[in-house]
Amino acid sequence: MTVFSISARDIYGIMPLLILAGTGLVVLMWDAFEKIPSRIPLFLTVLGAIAAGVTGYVNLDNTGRIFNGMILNNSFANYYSILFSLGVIIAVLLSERYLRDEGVLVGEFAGLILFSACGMIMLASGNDLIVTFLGLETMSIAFYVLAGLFRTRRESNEAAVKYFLLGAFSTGFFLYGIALLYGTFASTNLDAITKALDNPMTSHAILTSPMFWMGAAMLLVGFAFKIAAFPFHQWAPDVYDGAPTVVAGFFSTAGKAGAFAALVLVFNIAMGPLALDAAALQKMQILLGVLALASMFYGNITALAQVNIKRMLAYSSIAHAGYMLLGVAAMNKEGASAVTIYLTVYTLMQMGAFGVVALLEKESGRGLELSDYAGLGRRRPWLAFVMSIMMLSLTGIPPFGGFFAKYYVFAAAIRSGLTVYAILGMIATVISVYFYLRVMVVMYFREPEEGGELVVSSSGAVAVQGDTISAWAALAIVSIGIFILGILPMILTDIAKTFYLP
Amino acid sequence: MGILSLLIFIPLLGAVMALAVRRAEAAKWVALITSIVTFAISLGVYAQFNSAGSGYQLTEQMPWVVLPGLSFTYFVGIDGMSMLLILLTTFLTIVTIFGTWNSIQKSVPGFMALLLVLETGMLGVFCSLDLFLFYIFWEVILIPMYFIIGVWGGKRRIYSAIKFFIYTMAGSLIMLVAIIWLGIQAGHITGHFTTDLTKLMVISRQLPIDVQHLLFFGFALSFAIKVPIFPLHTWLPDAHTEAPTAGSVILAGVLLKMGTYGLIRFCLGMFPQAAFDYSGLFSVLGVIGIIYGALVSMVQTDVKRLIAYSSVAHMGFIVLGIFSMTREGLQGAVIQMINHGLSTGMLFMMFGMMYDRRHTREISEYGGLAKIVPLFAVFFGIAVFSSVGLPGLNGFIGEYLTMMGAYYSPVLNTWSYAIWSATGVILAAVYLLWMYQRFVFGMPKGAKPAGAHGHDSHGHDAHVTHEDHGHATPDLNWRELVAVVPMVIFMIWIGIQPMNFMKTSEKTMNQMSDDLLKLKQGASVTAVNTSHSKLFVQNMPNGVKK
Repeated sequence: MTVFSISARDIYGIMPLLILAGTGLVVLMWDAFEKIPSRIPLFLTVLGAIAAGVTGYVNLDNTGRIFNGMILNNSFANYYSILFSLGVIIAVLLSERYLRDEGVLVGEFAGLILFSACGMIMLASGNDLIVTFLGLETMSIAFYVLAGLFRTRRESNEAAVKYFLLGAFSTGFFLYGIALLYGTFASTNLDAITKALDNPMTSHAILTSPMFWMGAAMLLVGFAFKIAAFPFHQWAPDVYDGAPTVVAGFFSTAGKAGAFAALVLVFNIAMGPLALDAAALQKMQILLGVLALASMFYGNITALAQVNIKRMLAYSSIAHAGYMLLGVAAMNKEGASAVTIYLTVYTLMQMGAFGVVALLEKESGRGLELSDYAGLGRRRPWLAFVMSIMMLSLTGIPPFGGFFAKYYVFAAAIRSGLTVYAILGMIATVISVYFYLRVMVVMYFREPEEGGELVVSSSGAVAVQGDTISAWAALAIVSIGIFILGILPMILTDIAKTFYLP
Repeated sequence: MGILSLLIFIPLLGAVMALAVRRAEAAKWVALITSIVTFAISLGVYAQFNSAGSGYQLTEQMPWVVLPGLSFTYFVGIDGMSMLLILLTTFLTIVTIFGTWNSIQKSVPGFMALLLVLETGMLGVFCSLDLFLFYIFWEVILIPMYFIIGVWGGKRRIYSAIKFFIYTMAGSLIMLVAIIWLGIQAGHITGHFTTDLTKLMVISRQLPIDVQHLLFFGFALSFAIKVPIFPLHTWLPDAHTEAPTAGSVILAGVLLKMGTYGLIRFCLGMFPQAAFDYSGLFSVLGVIGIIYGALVSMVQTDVKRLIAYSSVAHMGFIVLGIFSMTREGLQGAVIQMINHGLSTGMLFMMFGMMYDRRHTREISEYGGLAKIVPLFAVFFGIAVFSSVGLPGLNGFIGEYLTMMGAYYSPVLNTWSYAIWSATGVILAAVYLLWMYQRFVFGMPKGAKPAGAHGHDSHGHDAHVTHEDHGHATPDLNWRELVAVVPMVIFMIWIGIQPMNFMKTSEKTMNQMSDDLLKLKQGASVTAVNTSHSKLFVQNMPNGVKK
């Protein structure tokens, strides 16, 4: 029986999480004691997130487990800490005007974003299903509140309730899955799962037992809810539509990244040795692959019919969950790297798209129809330019980051023999070309409609009312990031190489 | 940085500068100067290129993305075929920018920037020796072309732009799967994932034959859409017709060549056995394209649509030449690529000049141009004759060689392809000359009084020669003449001295043909083949070796 004690190494290992949580507490308190609302909490949040990102970077070369094998402290976990910190920074920078217009207390918003990021870090570094569960709940509870941030807006309330009810439901599946896996492995530790599957003496019995498959499937259902994969996606369009735009962007990027990090840890890495058994591998690949294809086709085909840009992005995010699931379905190391790279690029491009939508949004959710974007290329050339980069990157066209992300995912899938799935995935991509292009068609090829929502700002200059320096800084970060990752993807791939060190 | 990288990325720099200067006139000059500099560099490349050397030359290779099992490199280099196409690209870009100087009125800096990005993409495609790099340039081209059609195009521009994009994208994504799959298969054989063309040309031949067939079609589909090969051609009439003049010229002049280039470089280069097995299929489709394109051209009432369908027919000759796999056929295909770029490019450009004056594409709205604008009529006539394939002009050389290749091809092994494709030549004369007759001869029509054209783009620098006739359709001005005269010079030059051009690609194509024909044992027709190729092309080494 090991004596449980916390060493300095443990504390250093979870430094990003501690910094984010600490910042969250500070900004929450700041709001309570501040007489006149100011931007200081936002400033503190950005500083905190930068500090968390830097500590994550410092820890990047760490190896091993901390907290008695409960928490991972390796490049994988720390890489995700950086990614989540980046997500927090972009979300907070984009939300400044938004919060001011809607009269939401900054500290409340920033605090919840920071706490949800803590949950994500736990997801990405959980080496035990219990920690994974804790992370999932920490993230989700913060998300439920964030979805209902606009208390006076009916859609926002509806989104929060819907998200909460379905989220609670999925938590039940998730816990049941953990219980069944505990029944199979007599442990919730991921290392124990790997060891049991790696051992030819035990693996056969496990891989043929219905309990294992039921547990894995339940766990997958729980994750599928969080990543909004078909057919567990129903909450996503309504929640993204009803929630504040920046928050929806954060849900669909960092939130998805958190759930995917845990999914990769459990299915790709912990259950990796499953690939040694051909029959089990095939079973798992069909399970994940069909989920992936269904999400791609459903998301892309439904997105074709959307006229509201937030809903379109919501359905497209379902499709992107499908692409990433294909990387998970590869069940190999390339798959895990590919999903991580995809998530990074996806966080940038989806946040950028939601950021542009947020900047163009008018009071009480107007200005979100596709037709409101008519002639944007003339009126707001820079904003239209950023949106075009995001759309082209989401489509997966070189030289933008989205292309390399897609390449890695499909390459990983083909490598593990999922060529047919990859070809079908490419066909799904072709479908998606249409609705991403349509945004550009409306922005550049159509003249603005008379009396349209956005005609008021006809000066055509770069910054009209509503744009702030911080929002432009965020859009600059994502645009440049996508461009750099498209041309020099080795920045990420070099890090991804180190994911499998113990 | 080597000269090829310089060549590829100079236009990109020009694009940034064109955007930075913001003013329309300045952007045009930036674009023109950039394209001239690029052309000068391409001449420099030509000077360094040794047409007698074998393999790829002027290569530059450096590691780009390093991920275990999925690495690829930045690898560029050229052979004889790419050399000619590079010269065509840089030449046509200057001519296009200069020839359509005033036809673009809105967002000129953006247009010029897109045109230069397009040039970078095209040069990149012709220089890439890494499949992955090739794919990236191939896809990059979609974006500027999409905007050029969609923003500056005609009435149905949005429909055409989207159709063009989705059609091409569908093909290229299948190619991406094929590239990855091929790279992984190569990894199984050599232990390293690779997309290096020079290595894959060796490795791919060791793959099981059914895998080769699948991969061949993975690549061929994408190229067939781009060429386009019947029945995948339906995007082309829409895109060509709706694109602005500069877009049509580049699309017809260079973009279609990327398809046939890809067929030769990748499909024939990497999967000779598969190409050999399916040569019949592709030749039949080529011949169908020749005849179908000609027949559909004949009934068009829209000049641009007519020229667009004539492209389908002309590209059919190139496909037939490629899959005849003979020296004559392949050389003919390469020279026909250049010819088609010049003649169809010139047809589109000259029609664009007339469109700027009259603003209609209907043939019935024109007539009697010979009387009003004699210079235009002469040059348009030369372009038409070149496109028809009149001996003495460039088109004849290409069509003759491809048909001769098809006639003697031991692979196709029947003369019927050549006979059927010859009917295409006759039909070409019918539809093009008929169009020329209705367009240029007869009674002048549709010319409006001088005042009605005051707003015309060319107004200030036009050289109005026929004011006294009461027509305000001015003849070609000095700028337009400067744009078309070099094209005519090349048409006549190729028509009279084709070897000056063909010697550049001769070695490359001969090697490829010999390589392919090795697959066919005991080719009995080669003796005849030799004597005929000697008649026509003195420098061609003797016959096809067994």
